[in-house]
Amino acid sequence: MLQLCDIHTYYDDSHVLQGVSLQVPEGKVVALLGRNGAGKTTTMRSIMGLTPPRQGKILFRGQEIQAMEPYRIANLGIGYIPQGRRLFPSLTVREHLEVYQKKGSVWSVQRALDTFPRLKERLDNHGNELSGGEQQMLAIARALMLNPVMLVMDEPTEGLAPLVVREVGRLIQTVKQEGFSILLTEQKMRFALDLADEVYVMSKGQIVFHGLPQELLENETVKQTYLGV
Amino acid sequence: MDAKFIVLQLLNSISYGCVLFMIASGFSLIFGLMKITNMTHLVYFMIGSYVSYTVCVWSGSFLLGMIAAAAVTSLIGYIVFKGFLFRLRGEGQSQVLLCLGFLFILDDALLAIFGGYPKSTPTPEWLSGSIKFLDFTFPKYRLFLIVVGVLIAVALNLLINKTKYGALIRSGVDDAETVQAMGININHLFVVVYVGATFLAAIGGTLGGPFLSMEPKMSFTLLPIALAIVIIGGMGNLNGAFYGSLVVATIDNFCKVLAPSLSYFSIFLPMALILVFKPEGLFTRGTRKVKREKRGVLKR
Ligand SMILES: Nc1ncnc2c1ncn2[C@@H]1O[C@H](COP(=O)(O)OP(=O)(O)O)[C@@H](O)[C@H]1O
Ligand SMILES: [Mg+2]
Repeated sequence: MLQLCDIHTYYDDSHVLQGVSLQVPEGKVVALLGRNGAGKTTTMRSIMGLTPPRQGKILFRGQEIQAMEPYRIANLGIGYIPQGRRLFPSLTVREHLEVYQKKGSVWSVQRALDTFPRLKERLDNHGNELSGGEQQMLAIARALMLNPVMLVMDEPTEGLAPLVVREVGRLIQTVKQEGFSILLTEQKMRFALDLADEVYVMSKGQIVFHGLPQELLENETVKQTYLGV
Repeated sequence: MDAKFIVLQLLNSISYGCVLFMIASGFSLIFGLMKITNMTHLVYFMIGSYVSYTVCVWSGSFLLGMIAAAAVTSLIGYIVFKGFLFRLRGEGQSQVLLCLGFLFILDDALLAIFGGYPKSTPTPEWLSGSIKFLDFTFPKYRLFLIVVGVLIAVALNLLINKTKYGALIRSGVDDAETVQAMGININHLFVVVYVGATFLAAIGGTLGGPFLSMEPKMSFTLLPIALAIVIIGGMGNLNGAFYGSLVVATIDNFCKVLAPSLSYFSIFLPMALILVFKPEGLFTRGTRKVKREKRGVLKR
């Protein structure tokens, strides 16, 4: 579905991603773990074209997307759920869904609300008037309105209370069962491993581990050196 | 200073504020959406007023003057944006310099074409003269300005706050990057807003024509006033621009009459205070601000 081949991404002169390669197979959940500052968000931003890589290729369903504008990449079918949600404070919940609904999307506002019923009571609230869990629902719903086939989620549990984290876990399960391929970054290892089919670990802009969740659980060195657990 | 004087000056202030709003609204939206301090905006206003003056004098039709002003100015705005500003996307400083450059060039062009004598568009006949009400006499044209100004403000408010396209613009003001990542080609939005704002400035210039005496360099007199309005009202905040325009027009107007030597001070003192104590503007709800992800900061 999605393939990153040796990408290098910079912020001005600072060389942040130093040859990252990874793959997200169709219908699978792939987790990208790593400490704060490891380069997870930069990887997501590179995929979305927000900070395009200077070297390397990104293939989405076989098509090269590394030089495309963000809106084109999104329209190819990648739904982006940014770190910190980045909802729009001036828009109501309803507006978030209506404005970002793509023509011909199988996702109507009604279907989004049926999937995330808690948003129903919040339709006229603004993006910043929601609880953490509701915000995450809305961020996912907003991305779905574009009718994507893949979701790219950047630390969906950041800053959420433990109970809400579990709720978000169930949300992601739901979305996974709908058949989406998902790339998910996390700092919470257990949370990610419960959901993921495959795991990558990154540190200082490089991939330092790739394997099955079970393999990472058993690999004490990687856990200690790169994840601090 | 009696009550009559105050009422008349207030009405004057409101009509002046309505004209200022047509500058400030677009100026503020452009800043909010594209983060461009579009100083060229002031000269669009002046172009609008000179073009409408010329066409109005030539054809005798105020309406025709307005249409010509809107068309010519929007076209110039489109060229400046697509041909220049747009190519410098993401380079804030270059954009500011470019805007300043166009302000000088276009303002000088006005001087070259129209000369230095102050001009006023002839007031359309059905709007000249005054209305007497109780003890007051008030120029009809000023009342007309208030009516039209308020209508435009209401229409713009509905457009931005009640339509889907307006919501898209608001989300762009909140966070243009995320808008793009959600599949919207924000470049279209930029052009529409830039040219729309230019159009509005030209309408403002036309409407201001009969009561401001236009002269070259007026762009530069208006620039600090427009800045004061968007700072007081909050950048990118349409309602704020409206109230800000009224506030600034009132202060400016009363000071010009009562203490002309203080007129700049009287606007910039409140502006400076607001910058220090409430930088998001008086009319922006503080809680609406998002906490943006702090990039480049490492928690260890
Ligand atoms: N806008 C930016 N400008 C410069 N450096 C940045 C910027 N954003 C992130 N970085 C740097 O890039 C590195 C990776 O950051 P990031 O991708 O946000 O990591 P993560 O998401 O894994 O916490 C960090 O060293 C960070 O300081
Ligand atoms: Mg991150």
